[in-house]
Amino acid sequence: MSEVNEWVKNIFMIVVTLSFVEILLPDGEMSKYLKYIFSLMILAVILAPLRYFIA
Amino acid sequence: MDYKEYISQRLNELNLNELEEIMRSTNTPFSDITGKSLVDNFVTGKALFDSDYMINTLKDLLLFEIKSGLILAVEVIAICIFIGLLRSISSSFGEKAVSDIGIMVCSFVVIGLCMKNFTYTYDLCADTISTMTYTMQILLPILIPLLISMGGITSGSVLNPLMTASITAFNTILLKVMLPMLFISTVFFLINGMTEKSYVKTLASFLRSAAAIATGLCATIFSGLTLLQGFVAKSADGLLINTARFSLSNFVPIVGGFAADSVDMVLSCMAVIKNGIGIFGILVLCSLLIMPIIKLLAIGVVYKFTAIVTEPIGAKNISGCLNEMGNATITLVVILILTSMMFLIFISVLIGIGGAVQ
Repeated sequence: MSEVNEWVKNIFMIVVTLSFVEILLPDGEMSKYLKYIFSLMILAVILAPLRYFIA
Repeated sequence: MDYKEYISQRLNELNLNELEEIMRSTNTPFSDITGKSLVDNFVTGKALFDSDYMINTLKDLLLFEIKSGLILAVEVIAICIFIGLLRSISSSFGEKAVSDIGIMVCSFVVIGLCMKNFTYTYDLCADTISTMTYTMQILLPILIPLLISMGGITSGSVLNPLMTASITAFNTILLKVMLPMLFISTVFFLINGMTEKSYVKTLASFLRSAAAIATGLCATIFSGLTLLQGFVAKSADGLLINTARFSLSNFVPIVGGFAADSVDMVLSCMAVIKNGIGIFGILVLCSLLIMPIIKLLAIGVVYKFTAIVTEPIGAKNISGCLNEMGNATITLVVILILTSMMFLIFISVLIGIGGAVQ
């Protein structure tokens, strides 16, 4: 149960933080790459529980 | 001895205090019914309750709950109007980020309000499920001995462990797996409501539909097993009783016929008591269920209404999120109804067995 709580908390934190940062980003060449990297980070956090199945 | 006297004597020997205590604590239109008054009405052929009074009370309750839910709606709508204002005057701040952060903070407040309310509804649902399970755990030890005392030896001994196990297992599955899943899916919907892009929407809908379908599946499996066992045990018992009565009336000379008839009377009286207590149990379950369901439905309606109102103001994310909150509350109602349906099926199996001596 605590793992699930941790997972939900992590997803919540990462999505909130990254959307804040996304708003504060200056409009430039790099911003769309950064947004892509942010979505990769969210993906990593969502897939984190997979390590219990693999290991 | 008169049959009414016999019934009231047997009823006095039963200990219904705990059930009646639960009934009194529910504060519904039926809460003044006791097991004894129900069986008395039953035997004398009076109506069990006053339906006009009941419908009026329930209608008043629903309206009252909707009114008390409207406070949340007004708060959310006020914040959404503010969001619309921020969005329309965003050009005058110079930078777009200022108004974006303002909108995000506003959605945080809305989500905080919704989360607080949803925690309350979730606790209400979990409490109701635990109380219903507790009621069933009190009711079964009263009903099963009554069933055995009217000749349902096989049914009693087969159904008792089966029902107890199903009730406990269902309660544990609901409280440990289904409801937390629903809660997590709601959290994801809320997260989704405050970002522009949707990151976790599909995951949230998956979790919610999985919880609803799995609850339905569990209820079907448990009640199906009990029903099947009930049918099998019922025919075995019929065999036993009929053989006993037949051999009593035919093989015992002269008094055998009278003895068989009085056995019939005792069995029928026990059946009246058992069915009366069973119906009392159904009423207790219904009155436990009715307040939470009215509350949850009212909250769900308020969420849906708020979603409808906030859509034209321009807060599309928040409107979608409120709509999903409404759906989540209605899913809670569905889970409650499924649980109570399973318990009602159990009680009606017990009522159905040996209801009439064949």
